[in-house]
Amino acid sequence: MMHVRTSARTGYVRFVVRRLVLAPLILLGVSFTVFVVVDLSPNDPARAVLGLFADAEQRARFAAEHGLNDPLPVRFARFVGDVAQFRLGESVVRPESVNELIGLAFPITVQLMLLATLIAVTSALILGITAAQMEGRWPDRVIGTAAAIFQAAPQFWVGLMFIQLFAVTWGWLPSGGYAPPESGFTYWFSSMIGPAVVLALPFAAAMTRVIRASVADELAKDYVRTALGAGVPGHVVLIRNVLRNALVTPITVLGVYVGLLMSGAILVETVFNLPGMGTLLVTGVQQGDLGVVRGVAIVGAAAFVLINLVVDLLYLLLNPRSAEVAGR
Amino acid sequence: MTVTTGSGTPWSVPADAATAPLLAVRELCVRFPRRYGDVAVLDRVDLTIDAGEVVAVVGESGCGKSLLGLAAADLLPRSAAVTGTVAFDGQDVRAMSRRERRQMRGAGIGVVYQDALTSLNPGMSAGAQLRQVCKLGSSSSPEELLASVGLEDTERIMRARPYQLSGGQRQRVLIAIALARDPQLVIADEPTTALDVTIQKHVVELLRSLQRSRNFALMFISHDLALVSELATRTAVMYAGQLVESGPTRDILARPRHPYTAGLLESSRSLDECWPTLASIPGSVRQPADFLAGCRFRDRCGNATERCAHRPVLEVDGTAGERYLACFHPVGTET
Repeated sequence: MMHVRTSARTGYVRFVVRRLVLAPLILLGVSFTVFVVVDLSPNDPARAVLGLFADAEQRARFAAEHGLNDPLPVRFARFVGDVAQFRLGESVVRPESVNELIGLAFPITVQLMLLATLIAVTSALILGITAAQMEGRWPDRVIGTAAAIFQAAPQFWVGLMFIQLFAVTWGWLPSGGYAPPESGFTYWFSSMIGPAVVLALPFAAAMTRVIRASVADELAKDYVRTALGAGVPGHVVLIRNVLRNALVTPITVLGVYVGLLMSGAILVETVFNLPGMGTLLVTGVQQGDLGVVRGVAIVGAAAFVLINLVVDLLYLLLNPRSAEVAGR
Repeated sequence: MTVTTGSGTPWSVPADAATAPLLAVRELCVRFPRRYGDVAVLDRVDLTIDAGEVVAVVGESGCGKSLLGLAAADLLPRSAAVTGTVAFDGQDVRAMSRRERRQMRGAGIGVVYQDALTSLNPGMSAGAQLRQVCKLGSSSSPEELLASVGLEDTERIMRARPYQLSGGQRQRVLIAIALARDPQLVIADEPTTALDVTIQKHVVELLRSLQRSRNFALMFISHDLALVSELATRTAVMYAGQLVESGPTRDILARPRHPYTAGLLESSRSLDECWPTLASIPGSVRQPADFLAGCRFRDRCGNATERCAHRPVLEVDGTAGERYLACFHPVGTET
């Protein structure tokens, strides 16, 4: 009965193809939203470029030259055409193009998010599994309480407290700024660890709770008793038999939290003065640099769609039954 | 026969391997303090099983049969409070070291669970689960085991996940896992209740033939007296967590002494022989929280008197010395 295997595989392929077709459509929708929202904002690019003292005639000429007076669908089509060719336009304030600006900022945000995810996932795994195994006893309660506090605490406040404590009071870490990896691992690490930890905290707290619930749920299942009753050692049962099933839910949740991590990065980069995508976006908004705002939003959305696609594929790998369902 | 003492066994029986029973349950009480407070869900249960012997434990659902099976294999949930002793091969199970306990589980006692679907890992192939257990030490390969439990097409079954197998196949895989490490005792906890009637019969026949060929002791937990009569040499009848009667199966079926056994037998016979009216025992098993003091069957028993408010002790009944009974007013005696 080979069809059991092949149906899972064709399901898998069909799912991937469908998601790959869907992704550009989602991005088109996002582009439209971003375009319209930015367009509706009271920022006037002509004023941003020409300065406060430019007169109405100069602004009108600027608008005509840059096609700002064209109807919205025309401008949107032009924008989409540019984006499709990876041309995100010019910054009206700074000499670099939006591509260049994002090229500088994007790696920093990626480093920040990767480090934060690493910290969050490792600590959540350790704490969540410990809590699940000690269900109802004091370590479980301590971990649960701490997780609830850190999940609820506002991130900008945690960030400021962190700087106050580690940079101002103890002087262990810089209070902000970015040191590129070329400047040496220690400098780079001490500039990244603070923002990464602050960014990771609510994420780690939420993941800890999800992992705890899901592992505890799984440990109570009959098949655990079957394996233990056959003499399989407890740690083997946990790692080989339980975790694989227990991590399906946390992995789907991970995809959702990456979105929160992105919005968290905007705050944390601002608090720690890291020149990443978040800072770029915030200064872009402040300076009325619409091209930059649009560029960051589009790149962020594309990254989010991509990450979720990867997460969904991971989910299918862990849970082959859903591949059959997904392919239908 | 030499009686050796101080060998670590907590009661004074000979620790001689030839005479000590394979499994000896003594005065076993199980409580769930969080859920049922001080009520003993298993109340002073005594049961022994010798090597190679087939013993049935029967009773209605909710009478603690499965719990007894799990307690014997030392697989009770953490919330259970246990007193009394369970000794396997002369050794107190709860005093074992971690390594000894792991050896006892699987290699000493194999368990066939009631619900094969939940008892198998949905995320692992049947083969992976079987291989994992075989790796701990087995005389046969996973494929041989699957073949020995009557599964053809072993290659597909090894690869399949539990949801891709039929109920009967799942139960056979579960039996293969239980037998993988060549246990001396197999505890089969109602292995057929979740199956179709036709497949039930196959599984029981399989268990019996495996028991004969591999010569393990079998503790067969069931509510089905007819099934038990085909399989077990000895039968223990449980009611509401208490062992009420035990003895040779044929003898018990022919001449039940406890009113509960008699009632159980009557209702099953009325089914088999198509009596015009279905005989039944009035009422149903109480929830553990409402268990009566004394004999727990007394509210459903026709013979009950005030005396039954005290708990009857399981004692030798008759002269042959192989029957035990816990009842003040047994069936078949004039009072």
